[in-house]
Amino acid sequence: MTQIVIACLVFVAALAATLHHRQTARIAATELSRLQAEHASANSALAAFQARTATSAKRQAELSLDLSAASAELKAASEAALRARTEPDLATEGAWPTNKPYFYLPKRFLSQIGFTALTPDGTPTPEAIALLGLTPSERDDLRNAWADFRFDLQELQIQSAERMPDTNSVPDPNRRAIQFKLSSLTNQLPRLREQLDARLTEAVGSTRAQILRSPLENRIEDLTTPLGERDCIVGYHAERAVDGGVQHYLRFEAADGSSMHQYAIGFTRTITGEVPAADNEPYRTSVGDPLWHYRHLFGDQPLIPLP
Amino acid sequence: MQDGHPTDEQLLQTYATRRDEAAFALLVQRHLNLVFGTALRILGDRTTAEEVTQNVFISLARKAASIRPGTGLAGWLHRAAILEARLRQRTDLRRLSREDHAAQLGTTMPTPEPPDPLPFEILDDALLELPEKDRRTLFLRYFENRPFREIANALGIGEDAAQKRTSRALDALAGILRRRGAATATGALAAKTLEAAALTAAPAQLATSITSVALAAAGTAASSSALAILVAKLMALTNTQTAAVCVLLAAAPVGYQWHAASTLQQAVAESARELASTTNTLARAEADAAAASRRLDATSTRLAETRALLRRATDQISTAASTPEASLYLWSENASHVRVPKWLAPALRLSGSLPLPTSPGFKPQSQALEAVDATGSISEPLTEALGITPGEASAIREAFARTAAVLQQQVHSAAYLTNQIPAQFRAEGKPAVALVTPALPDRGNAIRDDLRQTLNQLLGTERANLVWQQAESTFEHGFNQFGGVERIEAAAFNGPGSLSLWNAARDPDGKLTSWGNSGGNLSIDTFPVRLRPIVAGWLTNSQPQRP
Repeated sequence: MTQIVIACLVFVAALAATLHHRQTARIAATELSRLQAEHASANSALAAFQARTATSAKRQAELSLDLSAASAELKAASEAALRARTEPDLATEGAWPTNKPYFYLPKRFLSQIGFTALTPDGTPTPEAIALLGLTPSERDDLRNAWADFRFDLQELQIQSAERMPDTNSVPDPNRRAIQFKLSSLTNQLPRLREQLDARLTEAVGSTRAQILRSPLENRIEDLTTPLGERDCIVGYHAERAVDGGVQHYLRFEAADGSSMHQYAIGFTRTITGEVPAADNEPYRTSVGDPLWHYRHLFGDQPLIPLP
Repeated sequence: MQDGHPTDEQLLQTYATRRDEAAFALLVQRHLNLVFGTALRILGDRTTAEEVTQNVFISLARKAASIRPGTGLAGWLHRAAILEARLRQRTDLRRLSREDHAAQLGTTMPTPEPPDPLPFEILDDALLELPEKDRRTLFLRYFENRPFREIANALGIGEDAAQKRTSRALDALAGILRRRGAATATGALAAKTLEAAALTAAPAQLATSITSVALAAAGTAASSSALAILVAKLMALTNTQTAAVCVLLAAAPVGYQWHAASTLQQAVAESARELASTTNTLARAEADAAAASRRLDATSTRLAETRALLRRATDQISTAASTPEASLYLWSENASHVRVPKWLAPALRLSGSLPLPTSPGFKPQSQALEAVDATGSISEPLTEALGITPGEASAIREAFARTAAVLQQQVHSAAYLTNQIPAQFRAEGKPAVALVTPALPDRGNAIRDDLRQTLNQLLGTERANLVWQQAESTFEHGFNQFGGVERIEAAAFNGPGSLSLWNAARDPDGKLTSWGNSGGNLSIDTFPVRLRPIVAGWLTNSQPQRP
């Protein structure tokens, strides 16, 4: 009888243990199925992204070839222009020739007289082209050097940007905000500046690169927040007033809360230099607007639809 | 095999392994009387004894596989018959007790008294006390009625030894009987008692019916025979052995499930790690795809702009004459000057700048200078750009000085002092005074035109226009916009050592524009000459009186 009792106890215990392990196995199997499904989904998305990247890279290679060809043509055209150049003749013409469309200015004053080198969208200004005597090819190289600098800087900002939680605990259709914490990029920015300097020197030579340094600083400040090289929170805010009007603004706050700058944002349906767009064209920011330099973080359209 | 007859052990083995009904029937036939007789001796009722006999053989049929080889079947059946009969006896006694109680209540008819117990009951208990080999010897001799030769074969000893063992077993039995109260018991009497007990015969048809019932009962339990065998085998083990066997048996499914669960959990952990890795890769791939897309957009834009530049450059080269205008301005590394289009000059600040001391690591700062100051001095860049000679520069300064003197004379004669201070100056309740120079538009325009005319004569219109444009800010403040606006210079006394000075202009529409203000411990020289005596009075009066 005792043996039966022992056997029963052992078998009941074994049954309980078996059922427990079986339940564990079932849960694990379910979890495994879920993970495998997620994994499959992730792999599928990964494949899609990789395909997109590959397609972009292929297209990029094609465009780079076209760009190289166009740049070579432009260089040839520039060389033709250079061959037609006449050397400055101050001795004969005097500083201000009355019958000529130009006057002479000593090169040593170029870095003092203060001029804007690039438009907000990164194109060399007429002043820069004239004062620095840029050929079409040099203009292209200058614009590309700046575009690369801006692209690399904005990529660094994208990588370092940390999305901040929405300050509204409850979604409010009349008040929206997107905020990012941006690091100062103290370590990366000097390297980018050096690269830009090298590109400028390569494009226009050391004399003109030196002259360009100061005017370009103003443009760099456009890209690195008005707070300078400090960690800051950049926020894109929108508010709908009682009268139905919508205000958008860009706000920069020092991460330590010590200072704050705020800029109103305007939107337009037309793009500078182009014909007016159709009425159904969405409102977008435009060149020169504060939001223009932060499109890579916030996009270029209003947060709250404009009336 | 004994003399052509199979032994009990062989029959039992045959039945257990092959379910041989004939073998079982032979076992029943061989031991029916032993079992029936034992039950009858204990119960004293043939019908009940038949039921007990049937139960014992059903039990044999079910447990056949678990009976260990070497166990004497007769002994096993005898013990089983005693146990079954006593169990039945106890059950019947309990039933009778309940029926007695019911009879006292008048609910049941009374039944006859049970018979007196038989004296053989002592014999059965005594047999149970015997050692197994003695008991087996006596069963072979008396209940199976075997000759000594067969007993010797069954026990694996010689015939003489079988006779001696039988004799010793009888003596041992007699000893037990004596201990149990049969004082006269001897070996011979024990032998006679056994012979008498063996004479009890079961009903003739009982063997057949028991065989079929036992086999049917065992067959009914066939589905659970394995369990029955297992249980029976378990019963034959010690507690430790039982526990060990059960643990071993139970470990298999537990181990299997544990292994399965463990394997799955490992797979889950591995899959989670892989998923985390893939998710990271996915995030990187998404970022890469987005970056590639942005880079592609940038390259597309760049290509479009390069093509546009190329078009313009090609157009210029193809449409211009031998020297395209753009070529005039191309940079010459060896030249000390650059050509600048005249149309661009107004957009330039040809004043130069003064570099300010800055700390290492900070952006270089500079202070913009005036292209033409109030004394008519012209900045170096503007001088060089316009090719102004020293004589021209001197004449320009004289013209500016003359103009300033005339203008100051006009201003001085028209200006007046008032304590009506504009509210924007926030001077309420304080000692304050304002020097107001009314607008002198007609006289101012005449003075301005005179200066302009002088510059045109000195430099020519083109260069004079540029000087005029570059000097615009100088004319605003220092020259009061040639009397074009009303100028208000106000002073206020804030308290000992603290003064305020406002400088503003009111345009013809009455709009007040601040040209600057300052406050604090200001020098008296900061104030216009006509305000200085008043300001000095405030300061003197505020000093502590000497005792």
